[in-house]
Amino acid sequence: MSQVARDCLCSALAEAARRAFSRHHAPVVHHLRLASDRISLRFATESLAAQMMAALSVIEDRAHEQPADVVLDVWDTESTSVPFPHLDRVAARPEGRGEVVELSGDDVWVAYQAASASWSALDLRARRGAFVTASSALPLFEIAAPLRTLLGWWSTYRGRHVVHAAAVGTGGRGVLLAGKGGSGKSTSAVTALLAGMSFVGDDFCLVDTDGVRPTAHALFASAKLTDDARHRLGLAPAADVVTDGTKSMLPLRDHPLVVRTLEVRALVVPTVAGGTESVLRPLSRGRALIALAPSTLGLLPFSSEASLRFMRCLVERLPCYALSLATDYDRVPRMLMQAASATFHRSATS
Amino acid sequence: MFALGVDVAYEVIEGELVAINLGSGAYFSIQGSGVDIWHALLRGSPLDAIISDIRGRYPDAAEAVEVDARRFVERTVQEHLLVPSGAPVTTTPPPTGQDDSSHTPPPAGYIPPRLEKFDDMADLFLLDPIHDVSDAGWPHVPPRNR
Repeated sequence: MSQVARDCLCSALAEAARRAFSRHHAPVVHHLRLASDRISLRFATESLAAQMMAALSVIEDRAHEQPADVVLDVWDTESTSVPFPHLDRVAARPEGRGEVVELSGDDVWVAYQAASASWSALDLRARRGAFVTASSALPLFEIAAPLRTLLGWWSTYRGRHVVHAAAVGTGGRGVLLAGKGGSGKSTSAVTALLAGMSFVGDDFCLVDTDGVRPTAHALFASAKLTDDARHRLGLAPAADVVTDGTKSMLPLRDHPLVVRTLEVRALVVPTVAGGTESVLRPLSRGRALIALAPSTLGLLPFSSEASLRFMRCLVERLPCYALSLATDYDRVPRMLMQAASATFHRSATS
Repeated sequence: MFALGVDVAYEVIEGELVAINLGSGAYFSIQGSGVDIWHALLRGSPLDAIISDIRGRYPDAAEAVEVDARRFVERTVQEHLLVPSGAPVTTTPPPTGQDDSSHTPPPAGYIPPRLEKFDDMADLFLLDPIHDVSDAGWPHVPPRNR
């Protein structure tokens, strides 16, 4: 992408945001604190802000005293009549993971999410981004994990990585739960929450490896469960909650057990095995990386070998376990805490 | 000679090579002598020399080594993990973690190359908005109900 084309797109995005915000009185502004980064969100409507800030509340920065490291503009075309700019320059459907290569370059990333007809764009140099969606009513996955692509890109730029994993624990330390959709991550994470464990996320969390031990940072105060999982966990049926027909959202805004960070002590790969007795056993790090990496890379456009390398380095630092899930859900929280225990690791691998 | 396939990223961890095709979403595990063969090919070693080297280490499995190695390389090419290349051999060592053979002792007995393929993530990687567009065409989507 040439410098001229890049500047043209960035100017067009800024102008589009200005027009979107001019439709209503002023942008609705919220601030986030993600690890050490400050992020400002400017929403064109109260409705979009309300839909997204429920899950983002866990990282909301209400004190907000410092300037933002990056500013993200959010609007929908239905309410503002302002589309994502430069659509005429996108000749064909996006490739691979929704990456819009015609509009992307070294420090500008643009992606399209077909399922929500939404665009994500981030200019790393200008530290400005935009999320433009077609409809004013967001689908479940955009409410439960809002702005995931933009937050993922920004984090990667800052040397941290969003991974497709749940994270739960107690006493400030816990485990990552890795695996593709349907493996039991969310159910295990919510089971842990219901048992009184701290909760960082059920599907995505931000991981940094700067410290002595890896740290999982919360991104979204939400969980998504199938009706069957809700029933098995003894939760009330999903009424008046956001649903996509297969899963419904468990809102966790201001939940006392949702925490911002956990020190990661182990990686657990759950699988639904059936039977009556869940089993926790050591797992090779190769298999653990296979559980963590493909879905993480598949869910973030432009993620590449650097992200894979990060995950390999992360997995190398952690004891890894396979958790075969049976019907004894009440034992799962204790097994997850066993996995985080150094004593268990020594006995499991001796 | 062989080069890494387009869109392929890989890492080695505890002797197992995990490769992902970022274009198709297919991911692979390579184990056994396949890891050594992979690294040797990317270093520019001819396949015949690689086979000869492995046979020298495991003379009792000489016949199997030839068959297994050629079949393995065929498969890596079929899966677009490696591509035949006429490019000059590079002497730059791979980044740490992509070749941990220096601190992994060779096994006592011959372990055939093993390539496992997983394609259950393909739907995350491949966008098909044909099914998600309105009559107006991409990128316009039909109205959605919540």
